[in-house]
Amino acid sequence: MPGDPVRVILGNMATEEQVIQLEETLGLDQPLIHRFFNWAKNIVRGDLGDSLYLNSSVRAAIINRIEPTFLIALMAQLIGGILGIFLGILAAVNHRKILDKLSITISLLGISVPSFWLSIILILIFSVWLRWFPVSGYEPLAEAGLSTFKYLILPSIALAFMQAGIIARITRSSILDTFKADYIRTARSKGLYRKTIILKHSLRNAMVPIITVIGHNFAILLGGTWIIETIFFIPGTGYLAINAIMRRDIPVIQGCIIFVALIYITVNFLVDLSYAFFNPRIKYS
Amino acid sequence: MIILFLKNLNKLIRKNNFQVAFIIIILILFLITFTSLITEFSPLENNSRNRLQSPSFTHYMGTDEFGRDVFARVLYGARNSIQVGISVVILTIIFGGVVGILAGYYSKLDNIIMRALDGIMAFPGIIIAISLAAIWGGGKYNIIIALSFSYFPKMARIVRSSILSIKDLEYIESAKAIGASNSRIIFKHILKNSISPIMVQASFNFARAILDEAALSFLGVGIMPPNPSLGGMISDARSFITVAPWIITFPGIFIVIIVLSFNLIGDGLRDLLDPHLQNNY
Repeated sequence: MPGDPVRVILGNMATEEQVIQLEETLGLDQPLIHRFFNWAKNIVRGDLGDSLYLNSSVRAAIINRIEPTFLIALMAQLIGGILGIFLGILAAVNHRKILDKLSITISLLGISVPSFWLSIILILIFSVWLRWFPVSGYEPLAEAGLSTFKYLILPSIALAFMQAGIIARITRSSILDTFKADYIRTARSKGLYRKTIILKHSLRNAMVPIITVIGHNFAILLGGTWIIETIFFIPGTGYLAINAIMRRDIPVIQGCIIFVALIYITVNFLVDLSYAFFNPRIKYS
Repeated sequence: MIILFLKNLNKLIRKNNFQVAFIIIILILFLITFTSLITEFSPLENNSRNRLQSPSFTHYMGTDEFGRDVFARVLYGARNSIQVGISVVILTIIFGGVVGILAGYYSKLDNIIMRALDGIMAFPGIIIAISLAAIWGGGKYNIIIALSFSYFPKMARIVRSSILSIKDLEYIESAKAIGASNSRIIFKHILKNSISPIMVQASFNFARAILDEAALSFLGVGIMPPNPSLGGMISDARSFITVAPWIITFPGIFIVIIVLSFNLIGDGLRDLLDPHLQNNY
C-alpha cells in the first residue's frame, strides 16, 4: 500500500497486531470524519500535529527550516522581477525590432525550460567546471553571514528564469498597451524625456497587471522551491516536504501544504493592497 | 466566434512562429509514433559493455549508465510525456467544462462551485500534483489524474466566464423562447462559442503538463523506472554529469523543444482570438 504511513513506519516484516497497535496509538483507527474535524480544529489553533519521524511538532519543523526557503523565494522573485521588467521594457521600447525579438525569445525560453534541468546545468557550469559556487548544501545566515548567499545564488537563478519569462511577457504587453493611452501622448507632446515617459508614466500604469501576474505566479515559485531545494540539498521547507512525501509522514505533508497555501494567500493579499500604491485611483474603503 | 476563428486561421498559418511550432510538433509526433522504425534500440535493454558512451553514429545521443541508448529512451520518454499531456488536456477540458457549465449556466450553483474552486486554487498546482501522486504512488495514470485535478479549476473558470458573457445574449434568449432544452442550448449554442478560450488554455495546459510531468518523474513520484521518462532520465543522470553530460542534456533539450512549441501555439491562438492583443505580439 503506497499511501499507508503505518506500514511504511513498521516495514514489510510487521505483524498484523503491530499494525493495529500503531494505528491505535496514532489515532488512525478512528472514523475519517472524526479525524478530519480534529485535525481542522487543531489547525485553527495553529497546531499542525506531530511528525511521525522527526520527533518534533510539525510547526517547529517548518519554522526551523523557513529561513533558506524564504531567502530563495525572495531572491528568485527579486532577480526574476528585475530581469523580467527590464526585458519587458526593452522589448516594448524596441517594438518589432531585433531587441524585441531577442527579449521575446529569452522570455519564451524562460517559461519553457524546466527549472530542475536548468539548475543541474547551472551546477555543471558554475560549480563543477568554474568552481564559483558550492555544488549543494547550506549554512544558516546566523553562522555563515554573507557567505550564506553563495549557496543560494544558483537555486535562485534557476527559479528566477521562469519568473523573468512570465514577468517579461506581461510587462511588454502592458507597456505596449499604455503607449496607446492619451496620457502618454500628452506626456510626449509636453516634450518629456523618453526615459521619464517610460519609467514614470508607462511602467507605473503597467504595474497593476504586472504585479497581479507576479502574485499568481508566486505559486509556481513556491512549488519550484520544493524541487530546487531537493536538488541543492538545502534544508528548507521544500526539502522537508519532499522528504516527508517519500516517508509518508502525513502530518508534515499536510503542514507543508497548509504553510504554502498560507504564504500564497498572504502574498496575493499584499498584491491586492499594493494596487492602490501603483494606481491611486484604486481605493480601499 | 467560431467563424472568426476559421476566418483568421489563414492569418495564423501565415505566422512564422506558429508555422515553426507546428512543424516541430508534427515532427515530434512522427518521431514518437514510429519510434520502433527510427531506432533499433530498446529503451529498456541493458548492455553493460556499452556503458556511458558518448554520442556517435550508432548511438546518436550516447548511452547511459546501463548502456541503454539515450536516443531511444528520449523518444520513448517523450512518448510517455505527450501521452500524459494529451490525457491531461482532455480530462481538464471534460472536468473543467462540466464544472464550468454547471457554475456558469445554473446561477444557483455558481457560488458554491466557485468557492470550492477558489479553495483548490489556493494551493499551488504542482504541489497538489506532487502530493496526490505521492500518496497514490506515482505511475502514468495517477499523475494524469493528479495533474488534471490541479489544472481543472482554471479551465472551469474560463468556461464559466465565457458562458456568463454569452448566456444573456438575445440569441440564447430566442433559443429559450422557441423551447430549446437546456442541454441543446449548452451544447449547440454556448459551448460552440466558448471553444476559443478553451483551446488557448488547453495549449498552455499541455505545455505545463509536460513540464510538471517531468518534474514529478524527476522527484520519483511520476512515471516509474525503468520506464523511460524525460524527467526521470534527468534525475538518474545527475550522478554522471561530469563523466557523461549528454545523458542529462538531451532529455532537457527535448522537454524545452516540446514545451516551447506548445507555448508558441498557445500564443498564436491567443493573439488570433483576442484582437486586442493582436498587434502586441
